[in-house]
Amino acid sequence: MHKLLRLLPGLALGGLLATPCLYAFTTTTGSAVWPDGAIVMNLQLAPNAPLSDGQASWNAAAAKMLAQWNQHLVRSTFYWTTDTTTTPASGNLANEVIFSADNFGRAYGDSTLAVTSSFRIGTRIIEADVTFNTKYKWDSYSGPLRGTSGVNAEFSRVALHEFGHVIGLSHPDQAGQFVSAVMNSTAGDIDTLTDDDKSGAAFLYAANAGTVAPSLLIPLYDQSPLKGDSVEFSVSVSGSAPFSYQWRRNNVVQGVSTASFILSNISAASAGNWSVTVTNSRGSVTSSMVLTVTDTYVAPTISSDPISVTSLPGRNVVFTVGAKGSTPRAYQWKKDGVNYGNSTASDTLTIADVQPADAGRYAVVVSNNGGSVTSKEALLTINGTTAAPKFISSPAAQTISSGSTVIFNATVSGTPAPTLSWHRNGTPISGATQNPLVLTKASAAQAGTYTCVATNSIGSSTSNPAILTISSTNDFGRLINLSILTNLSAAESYFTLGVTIGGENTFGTKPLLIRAAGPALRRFGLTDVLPDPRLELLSGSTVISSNDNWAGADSLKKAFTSVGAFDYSEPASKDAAVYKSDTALGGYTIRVGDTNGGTGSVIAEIYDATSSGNFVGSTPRLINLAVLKQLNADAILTTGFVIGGSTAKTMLIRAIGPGLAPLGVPGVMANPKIELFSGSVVIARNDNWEGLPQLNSVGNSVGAFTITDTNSNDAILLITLAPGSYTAQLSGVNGSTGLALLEVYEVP
Amino acid sequence: MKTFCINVRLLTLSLSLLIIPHAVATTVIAPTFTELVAQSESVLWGEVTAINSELVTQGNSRAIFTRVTVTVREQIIGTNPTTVTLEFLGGTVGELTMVVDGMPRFAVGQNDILFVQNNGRQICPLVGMAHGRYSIVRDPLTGTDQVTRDNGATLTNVAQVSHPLTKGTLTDTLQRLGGTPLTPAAFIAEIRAEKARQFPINTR
Repeated sequence: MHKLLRLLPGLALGGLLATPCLYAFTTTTGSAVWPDGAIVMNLQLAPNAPLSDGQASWNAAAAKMLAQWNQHLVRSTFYWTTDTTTTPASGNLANEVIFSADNFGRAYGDSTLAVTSSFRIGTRIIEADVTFNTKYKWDSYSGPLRGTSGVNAEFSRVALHEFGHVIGLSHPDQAGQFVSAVMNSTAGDIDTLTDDDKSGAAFLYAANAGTVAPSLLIPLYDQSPLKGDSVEFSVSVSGSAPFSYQWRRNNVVQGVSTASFILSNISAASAGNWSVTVTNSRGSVTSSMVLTVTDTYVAPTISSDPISVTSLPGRNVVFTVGAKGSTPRAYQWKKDGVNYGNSTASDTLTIADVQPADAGRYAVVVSNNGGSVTSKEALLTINGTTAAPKFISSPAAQTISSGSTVIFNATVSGTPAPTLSWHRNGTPISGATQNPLVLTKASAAQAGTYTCVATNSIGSSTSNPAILTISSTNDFGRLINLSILTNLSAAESYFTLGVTIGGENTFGTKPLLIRAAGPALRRFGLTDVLPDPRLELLSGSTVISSNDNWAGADSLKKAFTSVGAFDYSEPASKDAAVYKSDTALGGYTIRVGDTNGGTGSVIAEIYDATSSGNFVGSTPRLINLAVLKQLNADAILTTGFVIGGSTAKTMLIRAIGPGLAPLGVPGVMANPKIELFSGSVVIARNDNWEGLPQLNSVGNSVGAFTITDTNSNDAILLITLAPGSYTAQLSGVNGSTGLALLEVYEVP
Repeated sequence: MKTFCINVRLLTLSLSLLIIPHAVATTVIAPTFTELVAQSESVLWGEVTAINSELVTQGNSRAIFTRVTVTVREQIIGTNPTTVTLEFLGGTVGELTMVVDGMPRFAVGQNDILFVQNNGRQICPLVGMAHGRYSIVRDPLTGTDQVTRDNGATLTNVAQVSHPLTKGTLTDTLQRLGGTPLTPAAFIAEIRAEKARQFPINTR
């Protein structure tokens, strides 16, 4: 049996060119930045002089330029003073902006207008002074440069440029980037920040919450193409986008700023030591390779053979071969003399979760257009019956709104059963030893990289990292639609579902669109539909709104459109709909039946009709849906829900059968299960909740009743979901039938 | 090899001289080859043999200076002792770095042709900052020494010294590599020829 063959980067000759980089600005060496907070500039530009643009002083002109940059800085801000009494000096930890003929007693030379000199410790800027050369006669104006007699330096655009250096930007055109920018080393008529300048500032000074420095996922690797071949250069990193890429050949910057690119018709002139430095606002990483171009194919040779391995079951085993010769090279691994998997471009064979059957002799045939060579054999020996921990699934990155709950899930195997430890930014989280990890009321302080470490007596394993980003957006994740698709039989004249409107610190009323569709479902291919649905909205036992046939009402059509509901194509159809613009906070019951006692499939839908632009933190939300239904053999109860907004939302989804018995409900389903779909893909499932205390704890926080029997066969999912549409299906295990409760809760 | 990394940050948007006020301006107005030679007190070809940085204090001011020691291989113009130490503003001492954007970088073992001006009296002792430094790099394919500008581009004729030190696209770089690079001997010959043309002027 072939196990996972993990491929290292191979050559993709003649492929597409890389996507252009979003940003062309360039940062100073090492991407040095100021610490978060104020950057105080002492404006000491006396004496004043008449300025053509009418500004009162040089200081005022400089302040205006600092303010321009401020519009694009988030975690740091320029402040300025004009009344400092400090004597300007270099290296005094004060940031001075002055006119002067020299710097530390040294003249600037014949052609220097202004100088920004800065001090750094590591990648932190601690001081930056800007000096305007008094050798020049200055003026300030906007628009095209002028050739006014006796005036040869325009102050404002030089100041704007120098202040860009103060925050750590350098010259994009000297990094091979051809863009319109104040920060270019050459200038003409540009006197305000361009998009590239703004992107540079935003790149360096975006909010830092959750930002992670880049680290190499797929590094560069040595290549030896034949003259005239195409060669792909490609690097892949993890960390927080956006990234900037700076490629060098023999330490000379190349004009490429993308993660990958292809050189066609390669010649010896391209040979040499290549490197790429990937940078974001948190740091940078560099990868290097040697490119050798030959005139004729060089047959492969083995520089290092695979090494024999003895492994316990359940571990991953890696064989690697070192080879030289022309690229591309193909690697055909063999086990016991027989091909093992397909030929690949990878020099590494990874056998995941090894078992005794994987033991054997492994070798590899390396080939290229110049010939082939076979490595020596390496032995794989499997010992023992235990297995090291192995992550089957890792936690997923999440972006949530500040103050909300996030769930990190991981699945791990191993014998003996591993213990778990959750880590944030590599540091264990006190008490976080269970799966899933639940973080409630998460703040910016909890942003970072989360990993799960599994350990048993054989070894330990760390999950893939998941980055938690905390957003302050008002367009936070929320339920905007709930629905139930089911079938009414002759034995039941209606079904009911409960819905709750509210949320902590919300007030006011909510517009709701509620529908019960039967005939309209025919357009989706359903034939056995409820012929004449009728719906009632009840508060307590009082019907507060109802509808039998929607009658093609214009107000309803508009409501359908505004919430994105599918059309009722026939005005005369017997589908039902209600639009209630002022639904108060609280719990409601929606009852759906057939006017004439008909049977068939029907969908009940509740839409939040609040437009997203009007949504604020105090706007009531849809926070819960529940439906109690008798399910016969092979029946499925399906609920759909849509998470709107721009951040993920945590949902608690419960399929309760046995857990209803203590509440006095008779005839409950003995063993329900639940599956959660995104489209047609199952993204999570649960049969038995296994008494995890986090599930009852979160349930209690949202008002769900407690399941007292921790060994019950009820099913529960607790999961953080990105905005989108989801379907949850409740069904009985092994033909289990009876009353079952399906609940969907928003977890704040 | 220790790398000297004073990352120079010299002025940027300069407007140009009164003569051509609307022309493209640079941080350092690039000298023509004639100006480069004329403004040099000396021109030498040497090897960098030492780099040292020092934190200097004057009253309440502090600055880092980096001293680049060059062993002279060939004196092209002027006179120098066999070893010259050039002083640049900026550098790193311990964890503290003073950055002056636009300053050329040096490494021990490097071979450079340097156009020297006001050493010890300017923030950079080279004519036109990085325009006054030309590295001699051996082509690994041909084994031939060639002259490169501070941006790494090969110098194929002396008129190129007045071009901005921008770094071109990859295509541009490869095209430049496809030119015929000046050898040190050819470049030196051009420098001496230019000086000879200027000599009557300079001796007035």
